[in-house]
Amino acid sequence: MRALAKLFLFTVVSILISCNNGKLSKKDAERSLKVLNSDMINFGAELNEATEMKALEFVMSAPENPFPVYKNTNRFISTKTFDFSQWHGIYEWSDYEKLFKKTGDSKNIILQIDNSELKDISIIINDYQTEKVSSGEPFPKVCQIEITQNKKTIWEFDFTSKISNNLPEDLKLRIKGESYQVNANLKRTTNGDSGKLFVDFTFKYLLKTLIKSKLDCNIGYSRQGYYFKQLKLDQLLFGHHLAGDIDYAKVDPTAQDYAASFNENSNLELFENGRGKVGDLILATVENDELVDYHIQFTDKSKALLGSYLPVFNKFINLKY
Amino acid sequence: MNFKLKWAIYSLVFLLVLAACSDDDEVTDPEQTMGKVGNYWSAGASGYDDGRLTITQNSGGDVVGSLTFEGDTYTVEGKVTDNAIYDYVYSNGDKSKPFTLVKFDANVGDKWEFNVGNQKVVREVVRKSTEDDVEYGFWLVKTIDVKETIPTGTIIKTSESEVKEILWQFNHKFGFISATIKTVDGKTTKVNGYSTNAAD
Repeated sequence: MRALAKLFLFTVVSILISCNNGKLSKKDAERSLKVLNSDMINFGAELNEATEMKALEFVMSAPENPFPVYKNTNRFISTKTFDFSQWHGIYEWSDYEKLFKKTGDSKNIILQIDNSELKDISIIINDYQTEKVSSGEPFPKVCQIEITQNKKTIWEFDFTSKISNNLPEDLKLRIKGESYQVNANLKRTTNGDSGKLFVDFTFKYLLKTLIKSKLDCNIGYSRQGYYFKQLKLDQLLFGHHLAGDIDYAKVDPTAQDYAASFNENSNLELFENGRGKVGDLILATVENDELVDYHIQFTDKSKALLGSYLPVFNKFINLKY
Repeated sequence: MNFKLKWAIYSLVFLLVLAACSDDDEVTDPEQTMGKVGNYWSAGASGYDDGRLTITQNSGGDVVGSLTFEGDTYTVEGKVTDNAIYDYVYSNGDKSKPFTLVKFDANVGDKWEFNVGNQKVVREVVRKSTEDDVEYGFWLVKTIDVKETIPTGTIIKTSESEVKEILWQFNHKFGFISATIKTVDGKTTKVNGYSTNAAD
């Protein structure tokens, strides 16, 4: 009986420990960050290998392509001025001439690629409409793209937005690959000079949620658009969870000690699910105090450059998505 | 040249021409600053249409201007005092966070910084005339030169800046004199002011 009681107690304690709310030691936190980095790298590599990603990369790199988006200087995707109806038609990629040649008429845009790397691929733009926003640039209102291989749909992209006062008010995005699904929504509200901005994003892989982000922001409006006042973040990232808030209204961007101003007005905590707190995300100086960068502050209060544990995070930040 | 870049160049130039904002001891009375309603600046650059900015409102130094450029009209804002120009480009219009563009009594080496996330935009006074040595129309004028360094990837109006450096030249009477703009892809464009009534 006493043995059973001991076993029960041991089990309960083990569950409690493993169920977190604890704090990881620096050594465990470092291991946890390495696991997260590895998960993110593997995720990116696997996604890049998907046929649809190769097809999109290919078409965006092609010269004079009848496609509404391109990769900018930082390898991020930007939209360009694009008249959907003017480009209606069927285009075939010519390996010899290195361009898409129009071969037929259509009510949509069909880009056909069949070469050594991409076999029997069609990228079909079923709809694309834009509306000017405050920056003067066209912003997508509707974008529906489908990719097929051997006539079978392998990827679907469906984006709609509502623009009000020259700013996006409501965005909905759905992407469906063969093994994954992305859903994203943005909603912006207005109340005088202030408002709210809600964003949620989910990436499911084989029905398992790998990434889930929620943003809840208070915003202020200006003639230039809007700016953030307060931001609440809740982010599930593989086996980790980043949560917290930033009171931007109180952060002084011109402060002599900007990092201190940011840290005093923000609280960003990183957890490993089921194990405990990895540390706090803070800003701290680097390079002879000339620049600031994101650091992880471990539970023993020591800190290290976040990018040294999560190079992929650095890469992400540098891309400035 | 794409629209975004043109817009970036002209809006940056004119947002900053306007700006002048406010230490507490600075005078913001429009009659005593170059932010007076009706004041205008015209500028041109090779490869672009000319642009013109006219101040349409001034409330306690907070100015609103109407920028006409390539057939479109845009609204820009900043703050102008008797001694300085400030703007809200990097705060995306948040008036509680002005960024100094120039202070006419600043010295070479004086710096103003604006942080966005882990990025820092720096404006530094790199030269100050001691005699009239810069051409402006038919005159030679004194200028204070401010170099603005914009880290790659800095977000302006929800898009990444295509500009990485601007060398501003200002005169305390005429305001904007010129801006030499270097883009991320290595191009350099000089925008020259050629007309204003700010000193009338």
